[in-house]
Amino acid sequence: MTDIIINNLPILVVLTPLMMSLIVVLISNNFLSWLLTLFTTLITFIFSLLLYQEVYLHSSISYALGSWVPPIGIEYLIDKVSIIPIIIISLISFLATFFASKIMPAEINNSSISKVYSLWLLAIAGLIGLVTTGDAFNLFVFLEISSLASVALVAMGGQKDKQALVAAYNYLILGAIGATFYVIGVGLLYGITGTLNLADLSDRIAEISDNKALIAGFGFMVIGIMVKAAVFPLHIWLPRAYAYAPSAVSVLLAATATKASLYILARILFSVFDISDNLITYTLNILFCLYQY
Amino acid sequence: MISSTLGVWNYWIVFFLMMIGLFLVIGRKNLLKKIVGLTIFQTSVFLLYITFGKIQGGTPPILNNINETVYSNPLPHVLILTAIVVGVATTALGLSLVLRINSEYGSIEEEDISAQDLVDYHELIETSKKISVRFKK
Repeated sequence: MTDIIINNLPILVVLTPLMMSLIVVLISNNFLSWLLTLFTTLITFIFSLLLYQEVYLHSSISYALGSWVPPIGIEYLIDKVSIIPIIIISLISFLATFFASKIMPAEINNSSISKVYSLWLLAIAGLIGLVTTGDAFNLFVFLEISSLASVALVAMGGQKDKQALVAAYNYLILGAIGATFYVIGVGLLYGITGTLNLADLSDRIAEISDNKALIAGFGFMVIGIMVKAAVFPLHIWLPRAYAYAPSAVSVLLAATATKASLYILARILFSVFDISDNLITYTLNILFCLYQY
Repeated sequence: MISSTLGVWNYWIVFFLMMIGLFLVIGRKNLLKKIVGLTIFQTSVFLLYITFGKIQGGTPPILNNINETVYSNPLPHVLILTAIVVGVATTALGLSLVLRINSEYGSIEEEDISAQDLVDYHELIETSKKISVRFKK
């Protein structure tokens, strides 16, 4: 039994909140649904700690989803860098749930609290999946799971202040544009390389030196993720979405949502495209030199 | 030159639709029309994927006894099936938000909504001023 759990830890951290969100939505009692959510986030946190132990022993875990071998099937890749965001997200979601029991009834109607907890778990599952996955298209799916769930969570503030609805709408539109940009980028890269696995992608990109579709795909992907991560010129949705969301939701989203996207951005920039010795850094260096004189 | 530019006409359609969709999202002030634009934008991506999955003369990827059969790539189709589902979910959530905005504000024009927000904001300032004056007395 413990062997099964240990071997399947990379998928269990994602699946536990995802499956429990389907159960929580059926419970009408507010206290029970909160208790179940708390229990689920605690279990997820324990799983992520066990995963840390495994990563510490093996230095990196590659999990083949459904036993399909990685370059073809979906791979869940956890190394010493990606375990840190997983632990942070699961710990913060546990703490945020713990303190949500008092704040939630003050801002949200009694009848919709259990549905809010269901969306809450869905957002957590999406964010952990975002960090765990090693497949470019699976990453898009998790990006959309987490962002659709957080849009609905932000819109829950509309029961108190109607401006939350407009904020959620802007978040939805900009988030959907960002995700679609990311898909265009993945599509262009798939057209050149014929693979969706991130590790495989970086190997095949290194062989291609100058290709216009590669540059276009890189631009689309990075811009798409930057919208999600609310990096400076593309941050316009963020202040209103976090200001008008219910307080408990703001706590959860502000601490986890954009940070997971930032991790993805760093991973795409440095491990897929390896910009550390590339034209872009070269140009940036020249610009910095010009700026200094 | 002309044949190499016009020969890839399906890509022209893709980017034409993409630009129409983006323009609708950015240019229109009506919240419903923005969602229409978003849907067109997402549809263009579906076409992009289908386009490079298709090979000229390619058949569906089913095994047969003829050796020289050319197969189309089935993976982009499967990916787009997922993307369509995601797109439908986005549209549904957007439309329900528009409904809620309409019932709260009585309008789905961006200018009306921001004007009402401005009025509410000034009323808030006025009431808070009155309250602070009352406290000073």
